[in-house]
Amino acid sequence: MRLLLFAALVGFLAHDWTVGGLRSARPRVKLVYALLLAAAGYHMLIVMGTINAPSYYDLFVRIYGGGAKRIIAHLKP
Amino acid sequence: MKNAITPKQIAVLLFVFLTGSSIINIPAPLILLSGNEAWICLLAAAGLGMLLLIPLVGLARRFPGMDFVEYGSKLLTRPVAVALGLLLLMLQIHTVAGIVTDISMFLKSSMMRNTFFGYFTILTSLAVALTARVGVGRFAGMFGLLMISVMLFVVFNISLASPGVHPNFLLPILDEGVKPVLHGIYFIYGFPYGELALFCMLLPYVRFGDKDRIGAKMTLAVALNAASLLAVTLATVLVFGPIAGERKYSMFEVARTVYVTEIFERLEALMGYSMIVASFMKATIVLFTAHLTLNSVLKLPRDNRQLLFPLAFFTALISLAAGFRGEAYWNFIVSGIHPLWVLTCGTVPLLVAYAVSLARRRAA
Repeated sequence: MRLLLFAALVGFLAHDWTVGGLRSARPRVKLVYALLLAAAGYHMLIVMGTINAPSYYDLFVRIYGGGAKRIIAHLKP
Repeated sequence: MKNAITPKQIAVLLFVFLTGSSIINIPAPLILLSGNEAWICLLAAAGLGMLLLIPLVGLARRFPGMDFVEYGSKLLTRPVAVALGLLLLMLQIHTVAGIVTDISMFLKSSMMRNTFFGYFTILTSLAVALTARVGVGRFAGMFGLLMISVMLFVVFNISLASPGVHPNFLLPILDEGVKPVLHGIYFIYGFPYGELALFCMLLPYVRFGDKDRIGAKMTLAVALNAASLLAVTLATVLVFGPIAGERKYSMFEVARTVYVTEIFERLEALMGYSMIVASFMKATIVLFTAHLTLNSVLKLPRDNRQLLFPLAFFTALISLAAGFRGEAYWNFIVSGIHPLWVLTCGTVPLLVAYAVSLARRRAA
């Protein structure tokens, strides 16, 4: 799986840098590109078990979890 | 405009989007929540979905060629529109990751049990990203044909399973009161009807004039989707009865019961194809809208595709991380959190923009 992920990453990075025009893209595009890769890298560390940290879904479970549980409890017969 | 689509194509995309993963995934959890009243929940939620088309199409007509963030900037100021656009983007990222997770979990649990689900996640995400990259003008045409094959197989499956139905399984109704119905509506509004708010980012691509009945075409798409889901849900209840809610991936399970001489058996392979293709199409549409939202928030040209691959990579990793948490965690997200998420980050922003649009029109 790591090889597949790494191959996909290298593939699309190479494509975007050359054909996709990322080299001459606006600074904000490069910044957001880097942020998205950083966020993906953070989740990759969680998936590999390197860090034990909250993921994207853990954040939203924390935001919506309480409300969702109350709604479901109210709707149970 | 490059990549422009017709009103008929947007209606087809809406049908594909609504039916996509719901035709396989919806019946079992809906029946588990609402029992034999599942069909009532479906009709009510479809009605809500049709009502949601009013602000969606109304805003698209009032601001032709503009997406939600663009007309939101005119109605609500740019910072508010960007904030609402970011809420929409977070919902879209979750939806793409969720669909990919669903495909992986289906393949892992039903068809290829010894294969690590991560491979399905990565390969599906790759296919979705590459398809989204070609643009809506190209994939809109392709998806219509693919959806025809999906629906043909579903109809084929239901008709061959009809000898095994028991009409008495439809009763009793409302034996536990109205709460199961409300619970079913809450669930099915989140998936798929509330999600049609995401089409606020796709409607700018539609070339339509004053006489084009785009609202009617999209309403027909919602109605056809409701009819398809109704048929599938009723088929599941009629075949499995009291255990219908426990048979996950209902159409797949119904296909397993089909045995007509020795010619028509093992039809679950067709349902596996249908599920994967339909979900892939929905994931492509949502990834494309997520990319459009990101471009709009950053004030980039709509045709800019530089951020599509990292966005798809991010959703793939989120999907992998969710898959590792287990099925119970995922079920809670889908049945409990997702409807609330859709309501707050999809429906409410659209309604806020529509309300302001109506107020401004009245003041003018």
